[in-house]
Amino acid sequence: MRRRSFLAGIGLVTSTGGLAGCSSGFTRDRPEGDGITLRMTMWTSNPDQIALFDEIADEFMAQHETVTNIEFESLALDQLDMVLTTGITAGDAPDLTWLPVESSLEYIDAGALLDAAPALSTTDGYDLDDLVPHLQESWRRGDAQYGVPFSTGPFIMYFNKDLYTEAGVKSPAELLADDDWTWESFRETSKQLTDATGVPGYVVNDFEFRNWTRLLPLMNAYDASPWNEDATQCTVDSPEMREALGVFHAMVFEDGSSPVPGQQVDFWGGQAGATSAFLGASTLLADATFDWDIIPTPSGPAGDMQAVGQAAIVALAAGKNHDAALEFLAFLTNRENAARISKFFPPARESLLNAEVLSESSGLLSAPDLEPIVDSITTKGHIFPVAPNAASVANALDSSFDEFVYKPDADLETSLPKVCTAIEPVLSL
Amino acid sequence: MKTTKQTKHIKRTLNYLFLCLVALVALAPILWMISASLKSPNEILRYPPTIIPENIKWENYRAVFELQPFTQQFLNSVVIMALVAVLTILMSVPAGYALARIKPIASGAIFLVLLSAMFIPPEATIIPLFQYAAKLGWVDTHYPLVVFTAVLVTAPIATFVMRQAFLTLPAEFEEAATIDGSSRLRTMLQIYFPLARPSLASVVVLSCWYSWNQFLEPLIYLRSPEKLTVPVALTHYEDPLAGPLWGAQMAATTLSVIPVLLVFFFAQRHVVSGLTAGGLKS
Repeated sequence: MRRRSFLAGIGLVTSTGGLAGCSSGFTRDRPEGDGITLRMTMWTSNPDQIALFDEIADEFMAQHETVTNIEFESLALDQLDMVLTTGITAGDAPDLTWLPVESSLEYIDAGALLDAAPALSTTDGYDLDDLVPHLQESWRRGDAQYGVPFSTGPFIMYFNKDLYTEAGVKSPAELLADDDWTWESFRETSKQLTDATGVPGYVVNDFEFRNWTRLLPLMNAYDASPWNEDATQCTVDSPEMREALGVFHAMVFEDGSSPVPGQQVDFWGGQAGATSAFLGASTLLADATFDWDIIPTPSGPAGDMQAVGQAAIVALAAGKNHDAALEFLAFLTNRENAARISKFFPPARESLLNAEVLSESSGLLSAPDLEPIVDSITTKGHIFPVAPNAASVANALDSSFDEFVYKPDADLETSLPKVCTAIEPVLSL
Repeated sequence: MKTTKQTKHIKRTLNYLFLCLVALVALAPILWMISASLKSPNEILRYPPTIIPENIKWENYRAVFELQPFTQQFLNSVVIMALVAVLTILMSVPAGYALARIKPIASGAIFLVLLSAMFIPPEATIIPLFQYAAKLGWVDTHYPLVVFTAVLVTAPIATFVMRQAFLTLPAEFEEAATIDGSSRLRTMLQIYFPLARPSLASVVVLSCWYSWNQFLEPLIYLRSPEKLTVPVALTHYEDPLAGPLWGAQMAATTLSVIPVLLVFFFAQRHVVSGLTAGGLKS
């Protein structure tokens, strides 16, 4: 009897849910009429960010009567390729999307992106010259511009001031003040901190030995890159890469100042002396129980080179409304709207790229903290290297690093050429 | 005599200790999830982990509803799950009965085709199905998640389970019913159907479980946040720059897992007996 009541209860709940859910789930809500509906995918579900984009979209529709509806579709970054390729193949692609710089070459080569340059140059008051030229390189081919960056965030070094004080070791800020802020001296102080406190001196954030881009601050400082400028040849076996990875390998396997593969260490929970992470990750320090600070990542033989991640808004060739999509792209990224979006994402416009604007977007960091960081983006910023077949190349690189490099007894002299052998077939696809 | 009793007692204690240990391994992630749903991001990531939160953060649960229309998303999952289960039963019971009792021409081949359909991964069929859904105007609606799932995935599995269940029941029931003037439909509904109830329960739970856990299909077919299902919605508790919002994500996962656990807890007896129903053939 009891079980029957229980099953009846489940039935009742289900049918109530059914009635509540049926009303919306089985119809597609779109305004009626002949107006254009634009669709844009983005990897945010933050209500404040979506509200801002909705606001901008409403203003655009007020000025463009032919566009009657703009839909923003949220997803996670790692779902983007799957959703876009399925949509493109099935003939139901969105009109616009956010795209990470790592995928830029792949999409441009495939002819999947529309050239926005004519639309940008004919839009009143767009101020094309305000876009920082070297931050646009990945999206430009000659005179064509296939996307406009809306988020240009550098890797920075976060460090735990309490741990450095406890260990009695020179902190990264002190090394910077002494003009000795290099990966070599950071390696030394990290080891001293580990010896004194027992906790790792340095952990690469969001890395876990399967995301090679997190090592870019180190690679850039040694002028090392996994492939050459036009991404046709592997350069993992170059002397620069050997030196850069040599420092990292020694910190992990010789000094013990950075976690070994499989070891879980988290800087944000106070378990490491320092970490290199995106500027936007500072929100993870909102409830930190320790005193912390930030500075640019260390320099190396190539000088002070900062790794910068980037994402752009692009219009897809597979979309159904090219002109409207390009007009909306120009509207979204004009100076006025770029200033509004910079509340959440570091901009790539000269007039907006300053410490005051960035401190607003980070929330936790002050303008004086950010002065050197801004300097690093504008003058020493290196956007992530891009390759065709971005996803396949990244997979091949991560797995071959794991197989040949992230081992205690790895001899980089012989193991790095093996990495090249593994990724070259994918690079040349 | 006393020694035997004592040995029995010790054996039982050891047995229970071992079972508790195994249960702990299974329960630990769930306990950690519940505990993390009440912690700050900082405490969630701390090592060694804490079981009891230092400062209970109920705001994680508030954030679940502030960041997403989670109640609607949860209801969506429940509705889709229920409809998939109903459609699966409507298709699999007659199909299973026909394959077990009526055995039409080429029933063996039909059964083989049904079985092979179970092994096609959703990645292989998603693009043609998406094109089909777009032609039917089903994109951003729940139709493909109900119809395609029931017709192509859960009903074939359920037909297999029901066929096995009907095979275990004596054929004499059917003969007796036919002599008494019962039609095939009536024999199936009034005689065999009630006897196959444990298998039916397992079919319901299996189809509910499959539908509830679907990820790729809702990711591709659905677009509006208020139409999403729980598994996809959970991935949206993420900041584009800072990464996952662990507290809200854990709270949302806890809220979505508990009702399912409760249903499974009460229905598990049927599931196990239903799955073993085809083991013996009369």
